[in-house]
Amino acid sequence: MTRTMTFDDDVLKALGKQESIELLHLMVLIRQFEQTAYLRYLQGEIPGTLHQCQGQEAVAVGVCSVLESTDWITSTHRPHGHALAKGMDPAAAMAEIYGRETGCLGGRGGSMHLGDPDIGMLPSVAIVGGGVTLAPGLAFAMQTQGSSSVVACFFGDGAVNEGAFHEGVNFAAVKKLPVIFVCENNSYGASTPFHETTLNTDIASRGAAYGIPSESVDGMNVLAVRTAAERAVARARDGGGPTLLECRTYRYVGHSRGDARGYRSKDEEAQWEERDPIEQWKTVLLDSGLVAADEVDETIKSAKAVVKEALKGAQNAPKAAVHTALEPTAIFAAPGGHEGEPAGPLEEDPSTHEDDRRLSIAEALREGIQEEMLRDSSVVLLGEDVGVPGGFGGAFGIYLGLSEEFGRARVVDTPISEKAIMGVAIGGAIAGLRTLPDLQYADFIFESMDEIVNEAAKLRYMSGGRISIPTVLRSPVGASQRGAQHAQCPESFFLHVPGLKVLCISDPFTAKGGIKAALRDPDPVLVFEHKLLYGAAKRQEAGSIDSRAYVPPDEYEIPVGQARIRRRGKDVTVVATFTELYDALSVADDLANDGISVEVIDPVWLAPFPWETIFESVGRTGRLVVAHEAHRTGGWGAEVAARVSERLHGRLKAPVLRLGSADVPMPFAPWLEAAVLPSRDQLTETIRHSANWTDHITLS
Amino acid sequence: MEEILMPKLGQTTDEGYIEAWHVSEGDEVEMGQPLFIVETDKAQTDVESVADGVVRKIVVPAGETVPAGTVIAYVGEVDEEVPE
Repeated sequence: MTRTMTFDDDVLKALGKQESIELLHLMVLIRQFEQTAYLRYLQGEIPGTLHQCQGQEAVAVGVCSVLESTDWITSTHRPHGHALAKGMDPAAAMAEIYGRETGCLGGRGGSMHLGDPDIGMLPSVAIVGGGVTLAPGLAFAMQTQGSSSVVACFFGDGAVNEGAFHEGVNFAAVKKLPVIFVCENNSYGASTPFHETTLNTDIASRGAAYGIPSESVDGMNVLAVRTAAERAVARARDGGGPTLLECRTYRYVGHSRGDARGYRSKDEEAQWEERDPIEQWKTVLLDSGLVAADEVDETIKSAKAVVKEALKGAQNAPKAAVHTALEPTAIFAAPGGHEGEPAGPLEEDPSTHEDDRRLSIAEALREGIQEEMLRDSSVVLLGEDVGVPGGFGGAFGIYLGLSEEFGRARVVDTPISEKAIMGVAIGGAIAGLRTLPDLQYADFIFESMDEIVNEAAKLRYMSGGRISIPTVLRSPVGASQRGAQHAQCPESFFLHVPGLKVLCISDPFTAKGGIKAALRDPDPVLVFEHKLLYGAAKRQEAGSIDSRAYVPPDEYEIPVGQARIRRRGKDVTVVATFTELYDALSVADDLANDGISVEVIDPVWLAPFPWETIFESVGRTGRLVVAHEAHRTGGWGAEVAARVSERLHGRLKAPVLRLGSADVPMPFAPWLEAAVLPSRDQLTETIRHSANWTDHITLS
Repeated sequence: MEEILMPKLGQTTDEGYIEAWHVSEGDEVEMGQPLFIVETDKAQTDVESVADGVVRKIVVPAGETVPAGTVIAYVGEVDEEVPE
C-alpha cells in the first residue's frame, strides 16, 4: 500500500470521528455490495449485465457526504455506488438488480437505472451524457421554487465528448443553476482510452469554456473529493452557479461483466490498486489516531453484514409480478383516453357573440397559455426567442406579451440548445414545475430525440410509476416554402414511442382547450400545429388557410383522446389533420353534389388514439380514407389502416386508402413543393375511388 | 449453505473443465477467494467463493467436464448439514 493521500490534520479534525467512520462504512459497503453482486452474477443468480464501480467508491461517497436528503443526484449506467452513497437501502438496491418485487423500482429499472425519488435520486440514465441535460432541469425547478437545494450530476469521462455535455453545462452556467457536475474520469470509455478520443484530456480545463469554476481532484482520496464538493455545493447553494469537478479515479473491474480488460496492463491496474481509496482512508484514520483499529474492524464488519442481509433479502424476495410490466399507470400518470362520444362539428359563431371571439389558432393558443400561467404559477415557458423584450415572442408570435405579463423568470429565453431545453423541461417537470418548452420548428425536435424518447417517455416507467413528467412541447409543422428542414410533419415518429401523448391542433377551439388540457395533464404531451393554419397577425404565410373560428371566452379543456367529427356522412369516412382536414371538408361539400356523403373526422389526439370513434364510423360507412401531410410510408395513417383492417376486415367495402406527402424531402420552390404535398384533387380522387371501389381499380 | 455452481463463462460452450482445485474440503475460505480453475474455450479462469465459510464438500473433482449450472461444491458453516 502506497499512501499517496495527503491530508490536513485540521480538516480531519473538523470532519470528526463519526463522519470519518461513516465515510469508511459507506465505501466498504459499496465495495462489498459490488463484489457480492459480481460473484452472484457469475453464479447465474442475476439476469442481464452489471456495470460496477469497485475502485471509484471515494467519488460517490465524498460527493454525497456533503448533500442533504433534499438534494438530488443523477447517475449513469454505473449507478450502484451513487445510489448507496445517497442513502438507498442496500436491500432495495440488491433486490432491484435481482429483478425482485422489493427492488427500488419494482424490477422495471434494474442495475443500470437504480433510483428513488424519495432519496433524491432520479432513475439512473444509461445513455452516456443523458443526465447532463436533466440535472440542470432539476436545478432549474429548485431555483424557480426558491429552494436552496442542489443537484449533483455524475457522469464518466466518455460523456464529456457528448453534445449533451456542452449543452447541459452551458445552460446551467448561463442560468447560474445549482448543479455540481461530477466527472468520474476513469480513463476509459468502455475499452477506448480517453486520450484517444480528445486532444484536450484536461477535463477540468473545460470549465473555462463555460465560464464556470472547475477543479481536478484525486478521486482515490475521499477527503479531497469531499472538500472540493463542499466548496462546490456551498457555491451552488449561495446562487453562485455550477462547478465542474473532475475526479481522477479507476474502475478495477471491466466496463461490464463480459469485459476481460485486455486493453489495459496489469501494471497499470496494480498502480491504481496501490492507491485504493478504502485502504488509504483506513490508514489515514489509524495513523492520525482519530479512530482505533478495533473500531475500523467493527466498521468493516458491520458494512459487510448489511450487504449479507441485503443479499438474503433479494434472494428470498418474490420476483416482480408479471402483470406489473403492463400496468397502464406505470407508463402514464393519467392513462387511457376519452371513452365517451366524440365531439361534433365546431360551434358556429352565433351572432350574439362579440365579433372579436372569432380567433386565430395563434390567438387561441396564447389565450390558453396565458390562462394557465395565471391559474398555475408552476407553469414555466422556456425556449429560443420567447421573451426577449422587442423580440419575436416565439417563432410565430404565439407568446407576444407573455414575458411582459409574467416576467422573464417564467418566460425563459434559452440558448439554441434543443437537448438542453428538453432536458431542462423534463427535469423541471419531475421536480415540480409544469414546463412548456419551445423548439421553434418541429424539424428541430430531432436535436432532442434522446431527451424526448429516452427520458420523457421512459423515466416514469423506469421509476416504477413514481415520478410524473408534466411537460408540453409545442411545435409548428408543415411545408410553407422553406425547403426540407423547416417543413416536416414528424408526429408519426412519436406514436411509436410508448409514454408520450400526441395532440394535433387544427382549429382555434381545439387550440385553446387542447393546450389547456395538455398543460394540466400529468404526462409528456407533444403538441403539433400547422404553420399555414396559425393565422398569426405578423406572419401571413403564402397558402395560409383562414381557420379563424369561434372560441368561447370561458374556461374549458378538450378531453384527452377525444376525436371530433367535423362533418357527418354515411358513405366514406375521411380521417385527416391540419390542411388536409380543411381540404377534406371542402371536398366533402363538392362530393355531396355528386351524391357521395362524406364523414370527416379530426382525430385530434394521435396518442391516445380515438380508436373507438374511427371503428364506429367505418363500421357504418364501410370505407376509410386517411389523409395527412406526413410522408405516406410509416405515417400514422399506416397504423390506422392496419388496425381498421384487423378490426373491420369483413365489413369493409373498399380497402383503406391513404394519402400523404410523397416519400421525398420537401423541396423549396412552391411548384415543386406542390408536387410533393397531397393535393385537394388527389384527395377528391381518392375519396371517389373509395366510394366507387371495384376490384379492377389500380391506384398509383 | 452456499452452492458453488459451474459458471457459464464460454462464448461457444455451456461446459467447463475443472483443471485443478485450490482448496480442499474443510478449508476456511473468504468471499472472493479462488476455489478452482476452470477451462472453457481454451481460456482459464478462477472461480471464486461467493461467501465466507468452510468448504464442506467438493462434489466434482479435478479432471471432469460438467455443464454450466452444475453444483461443484458447498461452502457453509462448520455445523451446517451438507445436502446429499
